Amino acid sequence: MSDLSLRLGAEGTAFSGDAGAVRRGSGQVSDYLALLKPRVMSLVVFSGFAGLYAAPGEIHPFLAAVAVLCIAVNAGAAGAINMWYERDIDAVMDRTRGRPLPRGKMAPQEALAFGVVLSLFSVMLMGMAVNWVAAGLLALANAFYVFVYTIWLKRRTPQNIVIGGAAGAFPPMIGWAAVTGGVDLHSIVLFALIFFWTPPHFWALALYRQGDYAKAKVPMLPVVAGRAATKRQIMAYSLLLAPLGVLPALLGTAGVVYGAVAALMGAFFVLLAGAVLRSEAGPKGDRIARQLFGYSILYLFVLFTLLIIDRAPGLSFQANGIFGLLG
Amino acid sequence: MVMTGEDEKERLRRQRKKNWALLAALMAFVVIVYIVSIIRMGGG
Repeated sequence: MSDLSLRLGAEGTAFSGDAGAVRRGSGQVSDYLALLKPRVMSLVVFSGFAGLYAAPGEIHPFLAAVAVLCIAVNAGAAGAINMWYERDIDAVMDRTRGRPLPRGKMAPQEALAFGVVLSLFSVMLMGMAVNWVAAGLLALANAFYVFVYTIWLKRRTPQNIVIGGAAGAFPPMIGWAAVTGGVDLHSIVLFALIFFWTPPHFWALALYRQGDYAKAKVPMLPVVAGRAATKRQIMAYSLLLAPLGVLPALLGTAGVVYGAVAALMGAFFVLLAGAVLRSEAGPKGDRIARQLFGYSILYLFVLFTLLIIDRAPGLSFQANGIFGLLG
Repeated sequence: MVMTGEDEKERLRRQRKKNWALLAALMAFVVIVYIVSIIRMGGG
């Protein structure tokens, strides 16, 4: 029996990390789909599509669909590998104990094999169908999520979300590269937007799920540095994020409508972060943290939606960005 | 672990379902590669 199953056995959970306890091939189709983390995938697909759609240039619609499919499958595959590696902590956290591996729905090796095969297929297909720059970025995002975030950082440092957040920031850059065949300032700004959005998003979640992370011994910032330090960090990242959100409009990646909405929503993001900063510990504080978490998702969805709308035929507010409009 | 006849029937049913899902995924992959090849050969 592995160290993993011994450790969990000592904690009295039903889960065993030893594959022998789960009959091989016992997983259902729905369990394999759950391994792909469909809810996380939706944001990845959406931001990837936005990057692809906002990019200058042309791509055959079918190849664009294949590029988005590859981004989706690759993100899901990385999620499956993550679930394989984190099955011990998933078993002790309320939020994750319903996942297929902690419930013993399939052998861990099957989840790992599923993730690895899908990762390879998605990268190869992206390379052959679209271009190898996009495929390289896709492989990098996958490797970053699995090796840097999941295996290296998550259990070692409260900065896990900050550095590891880069993995989730790749999709719009990949979508952009699928059309342009390269990486430029525009796609780097879209990358940075998600990169700086990730810490306040996850730390807001960690504030009201602090007990869960402590139980699983994951060194999330509220567990290690305390709530006050976390709230200050949320505020600092929100202050960086708000102007960064407007940058695509200034660079001409998006138009004036995007710029105005990004400025307003960024200001409200900072206001909510301020409310979190002032909040006391307890149910009321948790409620405000939950509001910030929900709002952060809305913020990203609205911004990327406007990025798409700005490029839609007949709806363009581009005019070379705000600088072009003023000039 | 002892498996009853019902358990075995259930396991086979799940296996069949997975086989069909795998077949559908492989067929979709073949169709995608075929269409991509046509588009790429056409200069798309």
